[in-house]
Amino acid sequence: MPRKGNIYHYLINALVFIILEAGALMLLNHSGTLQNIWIMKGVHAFTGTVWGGSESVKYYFSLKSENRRLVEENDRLTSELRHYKEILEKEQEQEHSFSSSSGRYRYIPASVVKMSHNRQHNYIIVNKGSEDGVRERAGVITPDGAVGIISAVSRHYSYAIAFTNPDMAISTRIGHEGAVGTMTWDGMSARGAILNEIPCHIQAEPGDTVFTSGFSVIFPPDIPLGTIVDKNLKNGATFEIKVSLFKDFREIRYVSIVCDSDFDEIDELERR
Amino acid sequence: MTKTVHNFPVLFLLLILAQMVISNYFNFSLFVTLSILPAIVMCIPVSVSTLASMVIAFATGLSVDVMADGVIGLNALALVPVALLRRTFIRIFLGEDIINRNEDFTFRKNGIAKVSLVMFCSIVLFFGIYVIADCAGMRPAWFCTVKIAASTLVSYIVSLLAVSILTSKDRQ
Repeated sequence: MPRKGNIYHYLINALVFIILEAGALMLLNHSGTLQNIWIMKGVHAFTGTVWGGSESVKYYFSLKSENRRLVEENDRLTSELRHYKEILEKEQEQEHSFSSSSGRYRYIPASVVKMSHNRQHNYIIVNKGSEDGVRERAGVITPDGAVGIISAVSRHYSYAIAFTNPDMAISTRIGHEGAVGTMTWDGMSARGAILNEIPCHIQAEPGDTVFTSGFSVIFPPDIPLGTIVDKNLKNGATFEIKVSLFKDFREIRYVSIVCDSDFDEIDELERR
Repeated sequence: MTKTVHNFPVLFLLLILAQMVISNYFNFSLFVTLSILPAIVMCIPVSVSTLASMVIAFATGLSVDVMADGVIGLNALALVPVALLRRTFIRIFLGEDIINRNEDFTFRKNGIAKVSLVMFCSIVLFFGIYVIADCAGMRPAWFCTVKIAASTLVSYIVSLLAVSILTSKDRQ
């Protein structure tokens, strides 16, 4: 290990070396035109690199706030898009019937505080609670899939059962207007899911997209979940379809909690 | 009488004068620059510190630049790194003992091959910097490479003569 004195010695040598070389370069700069151009080119390249580097560092440290801003913006745009879709659907419904209703879903942006992904029963904790308007049995989604269902709510946090949990099932549809079935986690990979109860006469091909059906008070319709990978005939009557999810659950940082404003009314009706 | 105390400074100055003459009158080709400066910097006694040898190298390079009507700062720029790495080259090729004992190297004591290798490395380093700074990005890479190779080869042969003069204690 170098001694303290040696380090000073090396530092002084390095300093003197830099001073002498800088002096030589300055003399060179003043005495030759070619050298002048060459040195100035080098100096400009160096300063460009330094400034570029410092900008990169600054940019890196601002990424967190930038990410947060983008998530909020994304959430707002997604909400707006869904809102307009709902209005469009309502207009289409009005064309065919006499009933009408107002916008149904409310979206609350949240960050994942804690999550498990390597257990058989996984969970997610998000940083929004009852004070933010979250209630039990609200859905947790991202633009690329349904993530879980809120099962317990405190004032500032909510606990959700993740989709990567054998107890959880989502009502799904193949394509926008295809057959409806129940999708569950395959229990093995972070992106693997199984879609059951699809009658064997239904056309379902690898590459077809699976969406939420909207036949529940938890998830709104038409959230893309994944694509069909393979299908097997089960008991000669229904298909068991393997689905590759769009979202790897280990990468989730930001989510939206979706609350159905008609939840209580539908729930009351179901209980009757 | 040892070279370190009496002969060396005189021989050193004479060889610098010789270099000035070479630079002024012996321009063989566009591809060849003859310089014994790295060799004479390498021959500065081992007892002289790196810091002092860098200052000596800078002054030597600058004096040749001024007196030889060249681009001022070019020799100084190329010679200071040689002085910085002088002890490192000696340590690598001639061993740690020579540094620890502050002994000067000679052809007889350390062998022609090893001393030549030290000289060769210093000359390559010198011309690597010298030619690149001299061409200033205006010449193609092949030209710089050929010039570095040719200058190193010619200067290496002449430098061995300069080293034998500076380590003349050998012959006494």
